[in-house]
Amino acid sequence: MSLLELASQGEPEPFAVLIERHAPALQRFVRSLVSNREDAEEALQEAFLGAWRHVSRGGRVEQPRAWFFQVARHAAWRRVRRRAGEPERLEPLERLGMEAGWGGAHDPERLSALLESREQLHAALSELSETDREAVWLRDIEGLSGPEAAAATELPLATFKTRLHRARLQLRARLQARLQEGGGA
Amino acid sequence: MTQQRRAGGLWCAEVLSRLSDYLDGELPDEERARVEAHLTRCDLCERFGGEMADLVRTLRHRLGERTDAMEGPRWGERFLRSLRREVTQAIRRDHEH
Repeated sequence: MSLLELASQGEPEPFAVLIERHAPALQRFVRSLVSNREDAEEALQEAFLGAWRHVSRGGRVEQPRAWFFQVARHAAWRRVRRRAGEPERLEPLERLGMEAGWGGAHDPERLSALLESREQLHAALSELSETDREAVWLRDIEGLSGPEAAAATELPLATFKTRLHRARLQLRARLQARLQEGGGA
Repeated sequence: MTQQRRAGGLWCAEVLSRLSDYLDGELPDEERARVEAHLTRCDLCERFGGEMADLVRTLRHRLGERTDAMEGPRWGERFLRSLRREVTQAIRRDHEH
């Protein structure tokens, strides 16, 4: 019997084990979306309590890891200070590619130095929209599979993959801008 | 990209649109072979594809599984303990009612 099945019988201890297992990754994920630390802590607590209530009332969970991310994502998004009235701008893929350095000047040593810097990576990630950031975070940083990340974001797989591709190019574009500005590690 | 090339049966823009699926190993065999044929003949796409692969690999390596990446390790451990305590207390209260 799985820990979730044990928890669904009202046992708190198996659920505490699940908290130990999933909290670090969920904490990183929520913190990537919610800039205020106290809000992030509150979101995570709310997420686990909501998850417990769902499970203890016999709710079904098919992909536990994706589901925990989905619950945490809901709690985080309730606290994301969205830029009201600002529509998402989707530029043509080729233009986005060029901003990301596709076919442009090449400086592998400076790019490598930039990629070595966690601070620069975090700074570039922080400039992405929340939807782009969560796609990169789930798939590339936390290592969820495509289907898991799509389930966590409640998107059809094809839609998630399109978003992820654009988000990676956006991130590369932010790094490219740093290279052109003369930044680096 | 100022000059689009056609190689391996694909234009550069078609390779760009498939790049993430290619890097994630999610292209069907035939399409993957066409992308690879293009990459062996187009240095610009090969270079950009390599840089994107480095970026994806680096994200996991540099930022994954590190609670101290943004906050410092103590915050992560302290918060985890407090989270477990508070959630389990709330669960017990739920359980008793």
